[in-house]
Amino acid sequence: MSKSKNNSILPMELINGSHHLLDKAYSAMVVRFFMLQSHYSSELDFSNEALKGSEKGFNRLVESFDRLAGIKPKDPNAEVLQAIEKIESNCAMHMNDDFNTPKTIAELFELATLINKLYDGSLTTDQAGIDKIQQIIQNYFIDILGMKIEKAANSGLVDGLMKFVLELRKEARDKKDYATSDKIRDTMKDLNITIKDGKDGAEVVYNG
Amino acid sequence: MNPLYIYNSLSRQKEKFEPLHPPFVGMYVCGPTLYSEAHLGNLRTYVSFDIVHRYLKFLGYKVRYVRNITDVGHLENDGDTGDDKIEKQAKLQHKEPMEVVEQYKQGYHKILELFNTLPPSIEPLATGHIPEQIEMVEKIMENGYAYDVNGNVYFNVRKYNEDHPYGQLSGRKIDELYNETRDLDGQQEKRDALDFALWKNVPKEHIMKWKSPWGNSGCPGWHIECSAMSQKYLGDEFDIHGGGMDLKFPHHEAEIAQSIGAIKKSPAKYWMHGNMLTFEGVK
Repeated sequence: MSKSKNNSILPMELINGSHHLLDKAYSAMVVRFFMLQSHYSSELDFSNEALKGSEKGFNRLVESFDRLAGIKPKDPNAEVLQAIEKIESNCAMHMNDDFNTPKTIAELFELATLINKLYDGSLTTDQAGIDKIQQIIQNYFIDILGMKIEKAANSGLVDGLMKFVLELRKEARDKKDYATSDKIRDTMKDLNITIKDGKDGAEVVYNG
Repeated sequence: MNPLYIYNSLSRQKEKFEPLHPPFVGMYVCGPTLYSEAHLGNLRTYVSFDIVHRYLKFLGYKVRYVRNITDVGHLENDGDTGDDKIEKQAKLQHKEPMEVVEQYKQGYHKILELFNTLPPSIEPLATGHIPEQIEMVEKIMENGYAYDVNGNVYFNVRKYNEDHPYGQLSGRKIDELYNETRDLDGQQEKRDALDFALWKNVPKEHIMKWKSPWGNSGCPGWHIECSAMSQKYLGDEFDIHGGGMDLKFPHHEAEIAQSIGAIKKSPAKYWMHGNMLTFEGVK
């Protein structure tokens, strides 16, 4: 994309959706995911339609990876374990083939389908199987593809809840009810969230 | 399990990855010229090489990843004439050239962090390596592949091509290149249209200027910085050299010629090129 042309887009314009050719904003992780859905040696065409497709795909993966924590280990199933191992070896095979990220991502979609079946109970696996799946997500999705599991859909909710918690704490402090305000701060601390008091009010720092 | 294969632009085929000094891997990637905000095409290149960096680390290699910042010597139109992109921007904004670089560097780093790319091991600046660049130009001259005209030093492509094939990376033949070359203003002092600048004489009112054996006021050509800095941090020969497809010619071709011209060694074993971007089918 030539910088001198009118259609050139700056990364920030994608993230805040301010470019006139864009229908909406996209998170950095969705854009990164979109880029990795093409091989680095191929030309990549940005379009509203393609970006929306990647956003949908990215959310589908993250949603299914989130479900993993809710899967209860059951009896081991040799076929399921084999399917998991096949996905892992395919991921390695594709990355070894000149860093083929689109094919690696296709394997992760297979993994998501499998997780969803384990989640709804139509398939079962034991703890070893669940751990293996977790390891594939960590290795390929997070460490190699460099994706962050961000809960795009929930971020507004978390922010809203935190704002509410800070309001409650401020009310307690205004009433000199320090027992309550300290309890809020300590509970947040246990959740790895630091509340810092500054001149312009309290600020939240996520330490996770 | 099959081993890692990398498409090598130099051989035009996938080759088994065998680093020169395992478990170490040296990788050099051409970074941006910071006279404006990094655009999406730049970002794609850095994300592509972030994958290479991450995967090599995952495989257990100890990677030294060098990605430079060009803060001098990159002229408009990527050629040997016209203004220095950063010096021009500095004039427009009434700033020091280094202020312009600093301003865009912050935005560049912020974007790279936002897109979750791992930082390089070393991020050298061209202006921080002027003596190394001068030394390399001197070596090329000693070997007879460069000449000085009024404080401008040019790489003698035709002379070089007599001893080493020029155009190996881009697959271009020197005769074809003549047909593509237009005569440009101010290039008459070159002996040959294909020659490129290693050192440029600049007006003494320029802020970015250095003393050299060829005059009191000059700056390096665009290509020499990458040769000098990759050699300094990764050695005469290293494993991977990467960059955007648009840099394959003339920039990377010139890098190979400079290294061979100076020390008779081709710098990188594997050359990798990331492809470009379009938006709704338009470049």
